[in-house]
Amino acid sequence: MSLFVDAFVTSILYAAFFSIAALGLNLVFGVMRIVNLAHGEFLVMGSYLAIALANSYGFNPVVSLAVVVPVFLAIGLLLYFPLVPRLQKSGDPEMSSFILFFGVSYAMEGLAVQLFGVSYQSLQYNLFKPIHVGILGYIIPTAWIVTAAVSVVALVLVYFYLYRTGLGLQTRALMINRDEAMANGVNINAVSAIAFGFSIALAASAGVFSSFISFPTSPSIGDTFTLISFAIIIIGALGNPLATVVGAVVFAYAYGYTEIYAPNWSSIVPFIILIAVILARPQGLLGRKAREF
Amino acid sequence: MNFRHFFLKDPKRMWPEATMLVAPLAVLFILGPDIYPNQSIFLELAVFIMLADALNIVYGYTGYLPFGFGVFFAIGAYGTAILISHASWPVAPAIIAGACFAALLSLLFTPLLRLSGAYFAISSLAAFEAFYLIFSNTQLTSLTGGPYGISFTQVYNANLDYSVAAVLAIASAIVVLVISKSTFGIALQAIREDRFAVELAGVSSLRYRTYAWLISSFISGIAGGLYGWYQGFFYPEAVFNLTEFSVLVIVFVLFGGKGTVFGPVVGTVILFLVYEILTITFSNSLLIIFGLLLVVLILFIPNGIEPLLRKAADLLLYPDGRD
Repeated sequence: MSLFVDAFVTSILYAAFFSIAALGLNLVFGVMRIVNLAHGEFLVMGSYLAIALANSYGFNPVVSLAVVVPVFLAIGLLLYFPLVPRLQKSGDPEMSSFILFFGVSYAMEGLAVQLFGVSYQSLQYNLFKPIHVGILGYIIPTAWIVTAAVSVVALVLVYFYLYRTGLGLQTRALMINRDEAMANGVNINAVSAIAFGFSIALAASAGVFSSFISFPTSPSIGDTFTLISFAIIIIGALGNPLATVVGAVVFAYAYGYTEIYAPNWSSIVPFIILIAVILARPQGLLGRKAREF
Repeated sequence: MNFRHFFLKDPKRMWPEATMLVAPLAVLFILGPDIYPNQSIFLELAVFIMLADALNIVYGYTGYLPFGFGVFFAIGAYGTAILISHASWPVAPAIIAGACFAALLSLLFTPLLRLSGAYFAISSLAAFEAFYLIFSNTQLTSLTGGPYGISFTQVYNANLDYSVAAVLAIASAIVVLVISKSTFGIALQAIREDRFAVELAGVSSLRYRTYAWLISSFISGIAGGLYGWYQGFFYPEAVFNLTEFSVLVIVFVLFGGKGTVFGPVVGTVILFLVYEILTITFSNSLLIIFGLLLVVLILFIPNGIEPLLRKAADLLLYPDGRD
């Protein structure tokens, strides 16, 4: 019984973490209608930066965020202009983006291997004092609590950006109808570039905490994060950033419980849910119609 | 259904192009191993040509990109290996049965063909991962060998396998040629360009896409069986290899020119050799070079080199212009 409750509590933490891991991917798809297959690689790069900062300066991950977020926001903005506008002029941006960003993810994985080697690395739990805290009789690593707290703050910030600012309004307009948004004077490139930058920065901030909560950091783990993020945003609804949270909750609970009761099969769970959701309800649990016929 | 509709009335017009496809490939496969004495590279080339043609049928002609396309290759390899090692089937029926498994699996996924592009690509990627995790699972070791791989060395025959693969690689190129000249291929291209217009004309686009999907997965399954047979023993990672048997094939097809008869073959022959050279000389930066190559390809020559080659050939043959 306590195993069951344990899984319930850890799944909440999983859900918070995976929400921000997947959120950026959904933002990019919603705004630009392109698929960023290198999403997980950006997450891994954020993780490496945090590990490097902790190793050389003893930075606590929350402090590293102050470096990671601006750096990756800048990288996102710099990558946007040579890649995305050109891509959107091509015949089928959605399909082309798949291949383009697969290339980017390859190059980044190769770069990570060259820079950091192939071995697994992690942040230490003792970056936080005390290492564990007791909540309602449960002993939980402080790092997990911090991860969940940062994720929730990030989610709230994204919500405020999208629903309480002018740029956010333009972003949502772009998500709903590209042509009409353009006709109403939305500067597509500016709004998209900012969304792209945010997406990369969100992925990297999730990466800062990823070695605490999910997998140790290695160059090859990026694909896993990309696929999990995809599963989550499709379960929620493709192109609706806040539905990501619903997807993350469903994913986290399915994953958390199979990990306890059928550990051999737990890694298949996201894919099984993904295929099941796509077949039964391709628009996602919260989405509008997506089937073509 | 009336299958006579699938073929054009005038098959003779195919002869020149068929010769231009078959002759160079035959020369390459016969003389290749004598010039560069490493048969396994040429076997892989044959396998990649089959995969590129198979992918071309789906991606080039219908516009649907199954990103986890390598799953059919892997199922073909595993189906063949399991039938040979557990049921002692002879090789030929085992390979055909393995390919039939791949085609059956593709039938299972036909509901995905109703989805728009991104959903389709992602779900085929998910299917790939799910099947990899199933086949490499330790709980299924008695059937699939799990993570320890599967062996069927009793039927190993490298030279025979090489000849069969070479012949079938050429045959798959011919299949693409026939499709491109048939009403079936024309229907597929029309569906790719404007599905709604085709539906309005009374053609079931879903049915045609399903046929293309079946043919494609069957050819991939055959390629998988032949590859597995040549290895005699393989680990799950060797055939469930997203990099090699999905992404590399996509790159080959794109580089050559998707939706053309010659593009995938030319692209595979050129880029596969480049890839082999890169693997040997720059194995450290292979990922970076190939990743950047992909980016450049999709941004600058999204239609591949086939149109460029065609233009060059036209200039050579008709210096004053064709008309």
